[in-house]
Amino acid sequence: MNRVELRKLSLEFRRISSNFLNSTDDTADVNLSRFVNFITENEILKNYISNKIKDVEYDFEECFDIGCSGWADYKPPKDEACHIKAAYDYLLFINDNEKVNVRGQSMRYCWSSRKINDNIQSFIDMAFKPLIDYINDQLSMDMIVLDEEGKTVGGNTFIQQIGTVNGSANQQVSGVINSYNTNNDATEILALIDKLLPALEKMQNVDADKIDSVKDDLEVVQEQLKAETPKKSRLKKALDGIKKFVGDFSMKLAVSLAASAVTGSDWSMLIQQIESFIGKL
Amino acid sequence: MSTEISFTIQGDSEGYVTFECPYCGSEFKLQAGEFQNEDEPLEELFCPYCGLTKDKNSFLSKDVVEKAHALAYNYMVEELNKSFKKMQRSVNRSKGIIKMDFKPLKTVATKELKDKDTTETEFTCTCCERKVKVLYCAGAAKVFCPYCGVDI
Repeated sequence: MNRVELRKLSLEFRRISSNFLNSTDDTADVNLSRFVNFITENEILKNYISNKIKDVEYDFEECFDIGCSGWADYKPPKDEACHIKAAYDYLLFINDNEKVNVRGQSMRYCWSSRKINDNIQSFIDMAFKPLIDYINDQLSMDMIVLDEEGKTVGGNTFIQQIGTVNGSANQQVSGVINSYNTNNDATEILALIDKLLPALEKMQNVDADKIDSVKDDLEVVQEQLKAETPKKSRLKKALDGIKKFVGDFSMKLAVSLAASAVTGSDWSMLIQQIESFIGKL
Repeated sequence: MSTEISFTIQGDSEGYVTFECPYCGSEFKLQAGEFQNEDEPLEELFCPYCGLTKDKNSFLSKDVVEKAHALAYNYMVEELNKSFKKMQRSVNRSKGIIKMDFKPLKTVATKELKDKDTTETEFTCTCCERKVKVLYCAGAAKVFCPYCGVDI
């Protein structure tokens, strides 16, 4: 998919998601069906979800307290993949079951408002916003990657991949040239991680747990790169964590980056290089 | 009967006013002239950070909503005080055995809304050519146009 198609898909997805989140009693079921059709019929969105939830064993009934008597409790799981799976399965449960509708499901929970439309919107936000955010983030990340790739062709920032350089390489372009040697990915990645780790300490207004979590991911990457036989699955899991962190805290990252002379493209370059490294395993 | 209460918000040195996304709670700035352009009236806005859309009033910041509530409350208090004052005068004028006294309700303090210059980056949409100021991290975030929703 090219950049224009991805931009159109992102806009269309955001429009359908917003309509769904702003549903009223009259429109909630139709908007839910449109949303389900859109994410299940589009190959890219379908892949985002299946990549996230494959091999995940989790019953959405636990999260949404299906079958309880009295007010239902919303109990989201700690693991993000389980949470996404629960939201997706619940979405299909409402859509596929003729006896179940959005209003009925929203009324299982206790809300502060007396207005049915407010309660429906609160319910949709509670149950399905994590899934919408996840897909939205994935689309944005893919657009960022395509942007960066586009810049290698005609932008001001050039990410130049050089295999082996014998003799001298002359580049004359206006702008910034970031060169890295793909034959020595591991060294480059380790150098980038060494550069990024101290910047994390300077981040403000970000939960310490999140910073610790991304630090762990970076350390896993370091460990695997130094290992004789790096494990693809461990690298992939760590990469997912890094991507999520960059997606979630990109705005706060900007503040910390300014203070520690690390640019945003360092993070995207790290992501690209790890992806490229995993691709070669 | 409906009464219109209006108030002004002073933008930053470049005429930008702060808005807040109802979904993600992030703040961004729009130029007052573009937001209130009568030739191109707006019905909805997109959040420049999460890209989701809602009617434009949902994007008013907490300070603006608080001030609107305070002004509406003060208007109601003044109207009630006026009515009771009138009733008091009318009752006391009749010189009967019933006397009326009342304690006027107090109005709440309202503050001037003034946007300060901050460190956001200004972007111009290539599609509609309107501007937005956001916190931006190059290569690690996407910015969407608040007016047309395309990524900038």
